[in-house]
Amino acid sequence: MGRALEVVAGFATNPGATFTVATPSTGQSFVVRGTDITKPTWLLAAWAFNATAGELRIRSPRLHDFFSGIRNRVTASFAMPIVQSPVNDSYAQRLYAQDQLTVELTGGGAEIDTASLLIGYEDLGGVAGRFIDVPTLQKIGLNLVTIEVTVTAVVTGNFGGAVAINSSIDNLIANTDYAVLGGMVDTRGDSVGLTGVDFGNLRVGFPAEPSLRNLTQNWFLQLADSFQGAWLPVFNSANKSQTTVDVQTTNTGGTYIVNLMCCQLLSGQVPGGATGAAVQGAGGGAPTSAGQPH
Amino acid sequence: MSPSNQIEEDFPRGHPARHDYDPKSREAMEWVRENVAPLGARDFPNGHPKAADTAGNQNTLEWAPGVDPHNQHLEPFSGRTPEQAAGVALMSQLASHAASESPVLQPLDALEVAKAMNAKRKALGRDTLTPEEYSQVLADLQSRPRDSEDAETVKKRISEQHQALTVLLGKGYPRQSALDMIALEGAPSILKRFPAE
Repeated sequence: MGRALEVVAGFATNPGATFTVATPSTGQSFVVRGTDITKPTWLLAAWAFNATAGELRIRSPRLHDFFSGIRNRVTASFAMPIVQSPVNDSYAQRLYAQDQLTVELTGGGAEIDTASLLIGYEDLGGVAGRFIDVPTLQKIGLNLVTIEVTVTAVVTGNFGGAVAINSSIDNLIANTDYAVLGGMVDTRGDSVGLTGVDFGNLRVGFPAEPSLRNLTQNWFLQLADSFQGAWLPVFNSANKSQTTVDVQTTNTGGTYIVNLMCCQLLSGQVPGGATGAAVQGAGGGAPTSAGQPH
Repeated sequence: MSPSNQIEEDFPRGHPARHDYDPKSREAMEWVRENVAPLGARDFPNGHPKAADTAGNQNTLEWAPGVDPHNQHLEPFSGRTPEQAAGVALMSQLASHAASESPVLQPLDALEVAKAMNAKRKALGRDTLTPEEYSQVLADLQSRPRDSEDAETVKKRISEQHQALTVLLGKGYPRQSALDMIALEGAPSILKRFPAE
């Protein structure tokens, strides 16, 4: 099955009090991917980052209604989910393939305001990432490791400043799988994105909110736990130079120190990993330290 | 072991039960200040740093996230001085204006990529691929024609599926059951079975 997770971010320029349709970040779209509505697709969370308080509205005739739909207040300068959240028990909104979601923002009259939707695909034809669930992580997890990168965001409201995950510290073990549990930032923005071939070249992401680090540092773990599914992205260090981190934010841009909390996994346990002599050398056996206390 | 020379008194000085109690003495007045609360039980004793009537207490300090209330001039979370913060902000602004937007990538199947990469490793007889070799594998994969349906076919199928879903929901089927039926039988079959009334 082609499981995929994508954070789709958009921005509205000078929306003021007028609901303004958000422009998706370059290369992204608010049209739900897929070609078959029977394939489960979910809106797992949505958040916004405005310099001035406003509203985030998500609507579609395929959802509750096209009049007001999901409409929530965006408080100023706080990028935490306002439409469901993996942080606590949640109800995911079912989405339908090829549905054009109308995402709108209000906010400041002289600023770029931003919003992100996190969409999960359980079976997306032709596109597939590598994901695991919480029990699998508990079974094959070995060691925690932090990946720290510095990202310089752009001021256009798009994702920008992509850097490879090994651009600052290159300490990953060769040909080894790592699960991304979540991450932290030191500067407020809208979204942190991770893109790579292991994620099907789609961008997985989390809110760039520095004040609630305990909630974002294990974002994907909570996502997998809250929605009872395989939503923990896994990448192989063989793809480290092609796995990138970027940030999307308002017109203020900014320099972001991003800490990704990752967990080294037992090799060869998640389909789609690297194989070869180095894999065996890097711990292909089953160390007794695998797993969690029980 | 020699006995302790410490004298143990029955009540502290100023206590009303003490043998030399003088209500006008400094000790007695201090005892009253510390132990008598005419308005009721106190949360903290007199003189406690958190007591509401202790001079200079800091009970009204606001502990905002990332802000040191004793050094509110420092930048929240970073603790930088205003001068440092201004310098960093300027540098960051310059960097942001010079930064590039992220490249747009073509979605692909991670398992296919892994299979192709592993095949390349096997063919070369080594595990580490050079950036050029790595990029070549990806380029080969992405240049491969993809089996894609034309837009009209997809549009027709999705339209029929939505019609079938509406019909089944109207008949009282839970959404997941309805979608399972559509996946199993196909929307045209369901629309035929439940024609519009």
